[in-house]
Amino acid sequence: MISIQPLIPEALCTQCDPEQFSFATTAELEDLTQVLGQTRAVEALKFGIGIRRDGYNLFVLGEPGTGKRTVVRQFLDDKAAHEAPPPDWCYVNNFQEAHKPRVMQLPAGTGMKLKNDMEQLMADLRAAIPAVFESEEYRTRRQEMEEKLKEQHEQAFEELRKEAESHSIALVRTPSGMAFAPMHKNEVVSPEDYEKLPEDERQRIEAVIATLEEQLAKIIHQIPQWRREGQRRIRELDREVTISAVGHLIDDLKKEYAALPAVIEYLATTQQTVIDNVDDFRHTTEETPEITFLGIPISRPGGAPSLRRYQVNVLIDNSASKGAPVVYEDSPTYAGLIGRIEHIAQMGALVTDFMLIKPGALHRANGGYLMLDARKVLMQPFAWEGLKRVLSAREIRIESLGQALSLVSTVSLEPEPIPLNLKVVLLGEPLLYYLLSEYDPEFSELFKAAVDFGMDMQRNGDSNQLYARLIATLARRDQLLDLDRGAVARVIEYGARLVEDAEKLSVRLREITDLLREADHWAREAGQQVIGAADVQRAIDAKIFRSDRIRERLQEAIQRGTLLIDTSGERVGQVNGLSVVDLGNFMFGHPSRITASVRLGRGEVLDIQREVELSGPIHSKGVLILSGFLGARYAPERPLALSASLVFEQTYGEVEGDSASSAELYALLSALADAPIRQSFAVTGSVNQHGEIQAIGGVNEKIEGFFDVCRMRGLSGEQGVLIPAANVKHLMLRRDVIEAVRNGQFRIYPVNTIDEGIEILTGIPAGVRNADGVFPDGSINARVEVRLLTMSELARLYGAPMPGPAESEE
Amino acid sequence: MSTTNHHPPIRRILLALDTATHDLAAFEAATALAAHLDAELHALFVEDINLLRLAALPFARETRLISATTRRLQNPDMEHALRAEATRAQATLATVATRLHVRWSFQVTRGQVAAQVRAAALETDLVAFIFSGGAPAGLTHIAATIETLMRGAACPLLMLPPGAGIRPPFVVVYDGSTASARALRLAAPLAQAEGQGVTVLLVAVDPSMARRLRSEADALLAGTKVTAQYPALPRPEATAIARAVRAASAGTLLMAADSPVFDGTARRRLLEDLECAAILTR
Repeated sequence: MISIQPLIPEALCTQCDPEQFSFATTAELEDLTQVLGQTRAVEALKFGIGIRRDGYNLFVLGEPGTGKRTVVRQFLDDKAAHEAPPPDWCYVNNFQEAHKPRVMQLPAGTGMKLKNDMEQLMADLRAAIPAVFESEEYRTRRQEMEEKLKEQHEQAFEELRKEAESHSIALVRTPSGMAFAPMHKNEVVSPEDYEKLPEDERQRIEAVIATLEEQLAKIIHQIPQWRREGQRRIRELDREVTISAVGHLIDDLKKEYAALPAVIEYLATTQQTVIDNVDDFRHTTEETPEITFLGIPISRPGGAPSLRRYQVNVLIDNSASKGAPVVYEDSPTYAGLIGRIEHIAQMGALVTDFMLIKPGALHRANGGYLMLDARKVLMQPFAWEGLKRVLSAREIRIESLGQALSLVSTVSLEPEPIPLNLKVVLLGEPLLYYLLSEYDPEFSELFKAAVDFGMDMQRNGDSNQLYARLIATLARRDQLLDLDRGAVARVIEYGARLVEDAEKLSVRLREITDLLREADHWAREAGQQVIGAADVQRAIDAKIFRSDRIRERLQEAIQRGTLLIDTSGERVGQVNGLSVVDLGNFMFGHPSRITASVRLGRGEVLDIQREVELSGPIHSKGVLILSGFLGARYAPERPLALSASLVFEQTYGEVEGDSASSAELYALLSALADAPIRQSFAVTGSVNQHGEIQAIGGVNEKIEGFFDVCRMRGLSGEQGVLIPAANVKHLMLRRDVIEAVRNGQFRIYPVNTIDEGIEILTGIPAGVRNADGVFPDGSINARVEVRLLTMSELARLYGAPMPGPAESEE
Repeated sequence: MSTTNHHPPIRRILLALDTATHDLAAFEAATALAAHLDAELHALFVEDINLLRLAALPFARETRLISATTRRLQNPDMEHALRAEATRAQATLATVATRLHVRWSFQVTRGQVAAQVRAAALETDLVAFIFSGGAPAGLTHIAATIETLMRGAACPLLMLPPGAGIRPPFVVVYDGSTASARALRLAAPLAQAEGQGVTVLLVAVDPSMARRLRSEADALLAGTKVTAQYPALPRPEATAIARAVRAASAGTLLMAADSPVFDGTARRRLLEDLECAAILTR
């Protein structure tokens, strides 16, 4: 008989001794500046931020609440503060192709200056150009030209008129033209008088008029040419006058921006455009009022649209930046990342121009760092594809989704792309990282630096001290009351319980912070100046109470006998298994009855859960291992003629996990050996084909779940739980469980093998094969082996051919 | 000649129309002035006898100004064209006058334009001319008529080139004559109605005369709420005045019809180049 001793109370929870701390309250502790328990992540972060190569963007993976965003932000802020501010980026009009706005990179702070200078230039031009065109000199010269043209016209007509008059013929204006008529005493000759004229006189008049008409036609033909020539001269004059007004103003600007060739080129183009479109400046003294129809604006307010082309759209202004930008984009939509081109309604149509180009997060972070939540990026339509495209192309090209997907073909803008120089830091859960690595071939090319944030840290004396400082820092950051050393110790124990490991501490700062806040609440409510251990415990208890309605219902159902769970007596083929229910922010354990029945069969172990598809794949695997164990141990050279049924009684949902596989095997062995199992025990642990018990998760919740049921019915001192020995180091049990164990009311057995467990459960030795390979008589193993041999023999007999009628006759 | 600065009240305005196509703005301007003065508007459309005679000649041809092509002129066509133009003018006047509540009448007559207008002008207090654009203005009968009337008519004249209206800025050429004083007196209520001032161009040969003219002008405007500007004229010449009128971007020019500053050519030239309404007083 193997002698397994129950665990002593000290093994059930590695408590934190407050006396190890020299401080009275956390007020005495300095802030913690280092990152606890994230050595690997910190090194990876430093590497990822430091390396300046394409594709070395960062993916920071870690569970929510590990503080990865805070840590990353802190590192990025520190790094960015020592870097030079990035340049300004502006969009200006492309005077040759207006739908392709040009981009200008300018030294930080120069963008706004250029914008203001251009606005001032426009204001100056609006004043200078009309002034020069209204000047006496211009008016005189223009009038001279117009008069010359007019004189040219009139002289031609006057000469023609005089020519006609010399023949007593008048040039007469008719409703739609001109005509020649013979005159007499300042009146047109009447038809009657004309008829009275001699024939040769009439012929002379008609001939003269015909000649005059030819001359008139020539003059009329020449009028457009004279007009064109006159207009050309006026245009030349306008141009000359404009240059005189514009030239010196733009020259002043050119001197200021002499070191920036892009600006010089832009100013030169601007000058040429102003000269070519001088009329825009001659008639803009009054701003165009906004036109509305039924209250809806249908025109663009704010001055003549033609002058907008000279404005500067400062996309990114780094005039106030002290270092490289660190941007966290909380809403990483496609447009929020890439930027967008807005439109405004004008006369019922949507129009746009370079001034309506708006930056995205990539623009704002260019030259620095951009932090994004991976999940949010992936959830936003096309944001992930857009981000990858930008990172691959190393330039930000603003185009609407309609353009990118070729859904619209209307004329829009195609702004020049902006070169990209930034690091993107994606923050997300590990699963996202693994999925992207597996299924997105571009991901590994673009996010080469993985920063893996762990969930826990080693627990020892030194780390307890650091953890205490962490607690002090968190409390101060949230302006909470200070904690006394007892409270700190209790928080540390809670940190170990969170990761279900007595030798580790949780670094999920969100949950620790929440506990501190709630403990602060209870301490303040009690009128205390310092948070004590009782306040922390109250916060833990209150949190559990707020969340454990379902657990209470389950326990009530067990207590009332609705759910059948025995906690005393013995039954063959029946054992109390333990399972865990995860409600998201709260986990609890509860016992489930597992039963097994055996009969002659073909060697299969039938899991009823699996048959009705209420079993997860890991649970199914655990059950199939049982067949392997039975065959290997008891019938290595014979067919296993067993048919066994296993079932989780009174479960109505899916069962997953293999932590019940040892319990199922105990029930099976009990049924085969016909050995009753003590119902005062509950069992957890998975088993392998060699009968070794393996560690499982949720050991604390499982023990406490069975303990609560037993306590409800009265602790007898016979009750207890069998757990894998490998789980002992994970024990961080509740105080009441430990007290019950200390008082001998409850026991927890660490088991390594099935043999150890079955002995505790049945009180019968498991038995070990002797030198002849035979189990001792009466042992569990011997009884199982005999049963299986018997079944095998029976199966062989049933499998032999039956004698036929002819033979019996013989 | 009357020596009073006050113009005899204008109760009847004659609107002289010839055969050219007429501008709506000019109708509006003449009618608005009639409304302002509470005067009756009488439109006279003269079917030019010279045109009818021309169209009846066997060889009559018209050369179009747009295309320089010629077409045969027929008397019925010409009559039809003149009637159509008269009908259009009458309809336009009816619309505008009804809207502005002005008493109006419309008369079509046939004869020599200048003679017909001169005859009608004898029974009226102001003659308004609408003349169309297009080259050359001097060839129209209205232009000849204006010249004739400027020389001989006793009543003031209103000239309305295309697009013109009685509107500010009001520019008055003041030379100290009774007629120019009347121009200033006429400008004052027009400017006041618009809430505007007047620009007075003083035609003075020396500073002392300028001072005198200015004090006279101030006296003429006394009692009104109209303010006046007196821009400096470099020379008391027609060209300088014409330039000052342009510089002031005059909306309405008011001046004496027979100012001694203007010889015949200069005055005619100023009026031909006008882009605004002009009121010539006596």
